[in-house]
Amino acid sequence: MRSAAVTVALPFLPSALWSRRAGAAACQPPRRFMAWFVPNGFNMPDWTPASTGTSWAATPISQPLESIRGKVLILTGLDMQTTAAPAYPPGDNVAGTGSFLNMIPVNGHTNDPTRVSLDQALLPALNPVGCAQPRFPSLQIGVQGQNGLCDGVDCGFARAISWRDGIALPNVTDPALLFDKLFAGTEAAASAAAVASRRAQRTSVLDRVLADAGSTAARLSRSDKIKMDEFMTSVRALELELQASPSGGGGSSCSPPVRPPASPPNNTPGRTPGAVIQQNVPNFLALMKLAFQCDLTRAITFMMGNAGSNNDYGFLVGGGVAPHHSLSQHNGGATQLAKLTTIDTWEILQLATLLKSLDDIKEIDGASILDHTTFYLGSDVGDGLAENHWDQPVLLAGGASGKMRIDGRHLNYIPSMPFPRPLVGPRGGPHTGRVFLSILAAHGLPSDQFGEATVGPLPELLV
Amino acid sequence: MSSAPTLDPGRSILRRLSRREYTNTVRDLLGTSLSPGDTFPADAIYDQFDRVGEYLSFSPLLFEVAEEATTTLVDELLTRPPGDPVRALILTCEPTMATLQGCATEILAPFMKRAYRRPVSSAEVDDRVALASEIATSTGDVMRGLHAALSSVLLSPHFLFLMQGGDPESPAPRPLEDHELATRLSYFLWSTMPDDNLTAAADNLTLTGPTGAGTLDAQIARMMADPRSRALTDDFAAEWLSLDDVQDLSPDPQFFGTGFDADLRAAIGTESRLFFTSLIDENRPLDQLLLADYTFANDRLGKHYSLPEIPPTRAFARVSLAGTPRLGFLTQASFLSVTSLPTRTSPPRRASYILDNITCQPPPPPPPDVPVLPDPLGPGATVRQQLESFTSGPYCFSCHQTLNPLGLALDAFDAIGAYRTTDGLGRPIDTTVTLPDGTVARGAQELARWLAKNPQFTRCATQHVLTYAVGRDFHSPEAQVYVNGLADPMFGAGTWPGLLKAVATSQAFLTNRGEAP
Repeated sequence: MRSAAVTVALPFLPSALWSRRAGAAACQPPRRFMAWFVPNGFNMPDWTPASTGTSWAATPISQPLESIRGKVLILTGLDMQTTAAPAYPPGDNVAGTGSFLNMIPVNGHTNDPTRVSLDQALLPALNPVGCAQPRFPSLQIGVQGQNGLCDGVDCGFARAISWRDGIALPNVTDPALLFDKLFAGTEAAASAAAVASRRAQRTSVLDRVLADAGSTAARLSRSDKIKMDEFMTSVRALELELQASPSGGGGSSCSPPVRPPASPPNNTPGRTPGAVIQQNVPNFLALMKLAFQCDLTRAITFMMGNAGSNNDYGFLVGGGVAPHHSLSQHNGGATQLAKLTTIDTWEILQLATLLKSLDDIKEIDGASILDHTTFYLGSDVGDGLAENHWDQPVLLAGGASGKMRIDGRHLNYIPSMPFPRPLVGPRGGPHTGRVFLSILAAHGLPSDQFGEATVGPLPELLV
Repeated sequence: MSSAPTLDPGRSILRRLSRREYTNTVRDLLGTSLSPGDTFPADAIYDQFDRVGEYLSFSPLLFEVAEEATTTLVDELLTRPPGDPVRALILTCEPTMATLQGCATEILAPFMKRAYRRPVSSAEVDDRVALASEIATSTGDVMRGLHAALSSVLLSPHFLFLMQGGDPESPAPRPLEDHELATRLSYFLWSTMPDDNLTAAADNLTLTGPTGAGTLDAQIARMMADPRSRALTDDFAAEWLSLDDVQDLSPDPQFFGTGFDADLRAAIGTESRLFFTSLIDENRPLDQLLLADYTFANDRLGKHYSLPEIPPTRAFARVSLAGTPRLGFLTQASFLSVTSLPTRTSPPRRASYILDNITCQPPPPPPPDVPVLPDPLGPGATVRQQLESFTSGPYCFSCHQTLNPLGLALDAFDAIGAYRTTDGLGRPIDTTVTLPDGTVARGAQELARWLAKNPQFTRCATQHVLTYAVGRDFHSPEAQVYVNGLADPMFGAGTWPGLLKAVATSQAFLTNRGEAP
């Protein structure tokens, strides 16, 4: 089917699709991972529980998690200030976002081909060879559209958290497009034959395109070929999606929902209108739940906003314009801090809504989807004014298929530090990337180093 | 052609179309008024531009969205009724099952030549005709066959990428072939594909060969006079001077109230675009960017600027700046506001914009963990006092001795570009500064005159035009020597059209080289 003329080096492919027929019981239920990025930090005194262990009192921002607090873990005092060091460019927000899920600094590494984010690093464990494969190896989703605030470096550092081999994987930012991606061709009205015919037509077109790419090899230099390889990888990814069954590899049953309305206009650089947030976020939550439930993917990254996001939260804080990043430069003002707490609480409420919906769905072993999922929530900075890269909000959730101790605890690595946090931290807490090493270990993957994080997993996170 | 032939200005690598170029190109290729590039993931910006090849990558999402866009575009074309002029231009015959072979060839041969921006071989055309037949036969629908063939052209790397020419494996520069040069010229001056006239010149080998002496110059002149050259403002200047960032402004209503509204936002962007277009159209000297004593305003902007004569309507008119505190681009609200914070001006940001974009002498990055002045600034010392005391330590001062005066000279213009003599708390604003060479400048106009006298301004403008024209950076020491060689003869005398032409006829533009395998 593929032209023999394709001679450019074979690009990266996720684990073999051809093995999806296997679907052995040992592969079920699948394990899942989700990273959730909140921009601009939190109002940390309103987020951080006063005591540790499992009996901490709910804080204003953690309140929405109460009904599910046995399946979350809050971490205080982790430290990535050496990794997220800004250089102007990029400033604090992009330095923190660009290294958020890969633990490689942006500063000094703007073209690092080894940059791989945790979601991508987990794929061999989430989509193991020999098991049924989800249709999408991973999904990248974000609330904010285009953003002019790239801070002097590749915009990927500000607009994406998922990275593969030094390439930023951009977000889908329109729920209607996400729906089409997930469910196109599965409408009951479309007959199986029509769907198959349309798929065959697209595949024939893609075969031609790949052959064209292969035929250019003789005219390309070494660095040109890298660009053409990226292109071919992208074409092949679409071919794989077409070949995979639209109903995914199995697991819980599901049926496609009604197509959500297209996003309101969302291409204002640096800003997301409140109407976009209000309309799109619930639709994204519903689609992300379905993507897991239908086993369409097992790895999702979600960004509530891009680096330095000015999502307009006027609808939460009494009208008017309330740009998130501007507000986060609160200068200690009580009014601004109260507004930030309102925004942060709303962000956690969205997370809690998704977690609960996943906990309501039972899989074949009687545990919930959430029990087979590992969630990681974090931010580019801790406090929006200090823009500190230590003691950022960190939350784990889910059951990690019984491999992690996510059991309602609050762990505090700097128990005697008062608020507000200084810009430069005590350099005492463990590197934030050690949480990633713990997640890798819980998935049976090498866990001695990830980006700049070394020393190994945090034992208190593992079973 | 002002460089020594041995000097290596660098190599342009294979690059894909930017979102903007894609939209413009399908507009000209397919006669569509859709803007499919707007749905693509954002392009990486490097050195201000979204067309530096090394930083433009492909992702699975981009290809997926491009495939959707392709389907939409071909659907649109094929659902135009027979007789529709756009359809007739591409579908020069209406295929039936019986005539598909011949008709598809008749349609695809010229279409592929335009899409690939070069002559195509009959084997290439036959391959797509075969695809059309294959799909038409398997579906029993002749138009689906044609749909597939057209789609496969629009998704081909021959369409989505700009081949840069040169021998890929030889580090010696080689002249671009005619169609490669036509393509480069067209995306430089128009941000879109070559038109029939330029393609014909390339077909006749008159752009590069001795037979065509003067043809390249004539094409440049023709293209600069064509309305499509507005892309030099809407793409080049908009990126270089951050004009698109005006859309992103969010001045804090607590501080600016109704002083900043949608009309003003629109007016600010329009002013700078009309202004830059006038520099080219009126053959203005390069330093007029900084020194023009005119601008463009409508009623809203005229009031905002407190002009002596305010245009009467929403329509923009040329206005004189004589007798006002303004002069040139650095006193336009677009620059003044995109470099400000939501609540106040940021003199270091304005300075760093000037050093990045006007003199190409970017300051070294501040150290990590550097604290910042709060926003908004509390009562007490003025911005100037706080900034100067904050940065007085030797470590900060090594850079801020340059940054502070450049920014503070402009501080009589607030965060939305209005003129003021006192700050928000009624304290007078002092804009007299000592510049790095000891010159004392009293305010924005004297700063602009000082910058215009610096040869580095001409070099910096040249470097930006070169980067945009050939899609690569000019940072290496050799590239810097090359930029200076091209720029320095224009210092003091060069004009905007002159600079654009000098770049379009430079060795860096006319040649490309490969690299050792």
